[in-house]
Amino acid sequence: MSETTVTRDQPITVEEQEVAPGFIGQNVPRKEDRRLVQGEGVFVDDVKRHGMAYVHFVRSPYAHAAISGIDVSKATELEGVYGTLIGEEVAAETDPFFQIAPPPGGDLKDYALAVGRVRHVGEPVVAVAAATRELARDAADLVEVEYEPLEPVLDPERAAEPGTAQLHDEVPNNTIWQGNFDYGDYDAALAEADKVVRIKRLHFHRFSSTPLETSGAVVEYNRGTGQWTIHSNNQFPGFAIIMMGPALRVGMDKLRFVSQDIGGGFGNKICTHVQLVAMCLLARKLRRAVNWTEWRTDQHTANSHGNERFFLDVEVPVKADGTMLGFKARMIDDCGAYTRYEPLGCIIWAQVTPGCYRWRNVRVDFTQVCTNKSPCGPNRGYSRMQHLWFTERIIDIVGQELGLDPVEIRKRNYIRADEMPYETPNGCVYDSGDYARCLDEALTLIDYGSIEERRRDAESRGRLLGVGIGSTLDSGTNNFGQSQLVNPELQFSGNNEVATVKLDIFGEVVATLGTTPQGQSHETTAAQVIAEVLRISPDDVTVRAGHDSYWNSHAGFSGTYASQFAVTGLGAVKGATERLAKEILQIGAAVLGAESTDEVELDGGFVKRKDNPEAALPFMACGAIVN
Amino acid sequence: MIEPVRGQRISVEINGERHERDVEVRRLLVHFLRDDLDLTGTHVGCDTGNCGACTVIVDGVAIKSCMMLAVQADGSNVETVEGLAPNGELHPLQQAFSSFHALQCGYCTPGMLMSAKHLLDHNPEPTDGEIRRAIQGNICRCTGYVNIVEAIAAAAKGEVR
Repeated sequence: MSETTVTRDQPITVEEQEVAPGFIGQNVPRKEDRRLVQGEGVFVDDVKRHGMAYVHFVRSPYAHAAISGIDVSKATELEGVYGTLIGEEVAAETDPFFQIAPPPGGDLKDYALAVGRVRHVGEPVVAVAAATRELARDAADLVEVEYEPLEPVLDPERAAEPGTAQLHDEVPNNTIWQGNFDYGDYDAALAEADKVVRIKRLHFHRFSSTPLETSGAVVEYNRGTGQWTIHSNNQFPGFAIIMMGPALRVGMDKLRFVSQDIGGGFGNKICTHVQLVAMCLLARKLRRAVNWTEWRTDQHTANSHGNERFFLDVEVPVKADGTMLGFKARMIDDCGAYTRYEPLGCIIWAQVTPGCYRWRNVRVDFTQVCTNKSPCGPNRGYSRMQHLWFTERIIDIVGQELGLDPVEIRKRNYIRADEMPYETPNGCVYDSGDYARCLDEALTLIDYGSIEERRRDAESRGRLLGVGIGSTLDSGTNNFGQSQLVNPELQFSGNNEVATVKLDIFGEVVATLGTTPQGQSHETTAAQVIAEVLRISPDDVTVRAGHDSYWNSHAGFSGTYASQFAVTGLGAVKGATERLAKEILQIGAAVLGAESTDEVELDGGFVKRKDNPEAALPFMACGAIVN
Repeated sequence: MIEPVRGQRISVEINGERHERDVEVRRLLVHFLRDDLDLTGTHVGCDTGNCGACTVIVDGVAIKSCMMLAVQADGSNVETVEGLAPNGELHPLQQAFSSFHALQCGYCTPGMLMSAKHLLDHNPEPTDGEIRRAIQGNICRCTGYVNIVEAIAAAAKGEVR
């Protein structure tokens, strides 16, 4: 059993205490709004460079085909076309992307452009760069690619069967990863059960979120330093750099990531490192800045989608009173044609193994396969959503089989408030919650008691009224240490985020974040926390907009994804501000002749003696003294 | 054989300022605004006329500028988000969007604002239903529609904090 910081003996408690008026939790105007409502934000396609080329990708019309020839000559003859990039060049100038899976799944070769073979509709085959967007599309139409269609693998349930076509020569049976999860004592649960409910097949379909701003980048190459500046809306630069550095055969410091405003992310903008490598190669080859702005059609066709998952041969041992003892399932997850962030999804679901329920005995045979579809990536509720949908389907089906009301069977099986903090069968800790009460409140809000009456009323008007209940919880932030469960050779551990909070010479408080916000108000919330700690106004705090890996402090897992700003991002802000506050107090105490920092306090941009508020040192003086 | 016309000189008044440019006849108005004039407040979300992020007002009519050629705007009067606060003082709609938290990422916001301005220009006292109809061509993916409707209603009533 793993050690945790929260235990039954040491639960998380919120101490009732008198709180001085502050800014955390207050409704304050957003710092971001003024520029955004005036159209003065800087989104990636707003970045312009002299002589910049616009890039259009020629994409595969086939799900699976061998590439027997590429001819770009007609495209390059067009006036205003600056050049092209094809798979052969990519294979010569880069290494395949680093793989998270152990062999053989991890042996697959993934490049920025298709090399010799296409494996999904929309896979980039050739990149064309020209003086305008329109011209780049014209030129792309003139690129001739010869394909020899191959049998596509479309059905994940059959992907691993013998005789099925193979996507990657290195990956037998199209099987990326397989693992068995066995928590509690499933056999004992079977023996104890009054009944075993069996569900042959449940299917969670492939899906995709749709940020209103498509993916994109403006990439510049500095020939003198060998460094790329990547203006992009990639939402997880820490991961992109880990992927891109080895591929481009450079150290991470050669990849400077910059973003200001990002028009939504939802996970779709995590795995753009593939296109970004193509952009880096083009910027270097063409000796000019290059712009790639994904067309919406391309975004729908071939951005990173959310994983499709099958739950097969499900067994649920239950007691006669509806108490569920556990579940057993064979799960097949489809990651699409390449494993970019995968197979992390094979383990991420386990953060919420039991969902909201007390069942303790779980046996899962989990297989991830590749198919000829667009590669998957983390997407809104990554991997947990599929699993939580599965637990909710189980409980409704079990309820129906036992003739129990969906509310009743949920309440009977919920983890109870007095069991918090609750350790799940696989050692995760739920810190708090009263799920039955939450459900009651939701039912009250929709006036659940009147549903039958409203149903009859609807029917009388020729309409049907249905009711469904879903109760889920979710884990916030990632623990990359989990990756060692899919590949013990990986050295990733935990998680991190960084913030810098400084006092400039004229007393300005300035913060930089490692995050890449996409509308989550990081500038505002960070300023609230800083203001609270330093006892100033959020208006007195400048938080630099966006991310710049040269300007801002950042860490290996910097970015904005997995709901982690509230925990790691703001945690870093708070920690940095507290250190700054301590230094300001030390300076103030020394200058004001106090015996210790206990005798001074921060108030409105001054350090003041508690016994004599007239004895005050402004932040400006503190900044100047240590300048 | 007659060569097709590929380029044309156009003159467009945008936010009170006249711009004359040679443009390709196939140039979309939104790319004319963004790429030729660097008025990047107008955004492209879908390039298929569905999302409304590129909404501007042409001769008093709210249009999706990815659905109009630049040459079609020749001689017309165009209003974009950059014209809403010419002296830096926010338009009541802009202030309302901020006050009512009617934006998150801000990408759809310029188009929403222009659709809303078009509504209030023609109907100063809209009902909630009329507000919803006015922005039905504008998609927000952070899903703040409720707050957006409240913001427009408040701006119409002059109840902006």
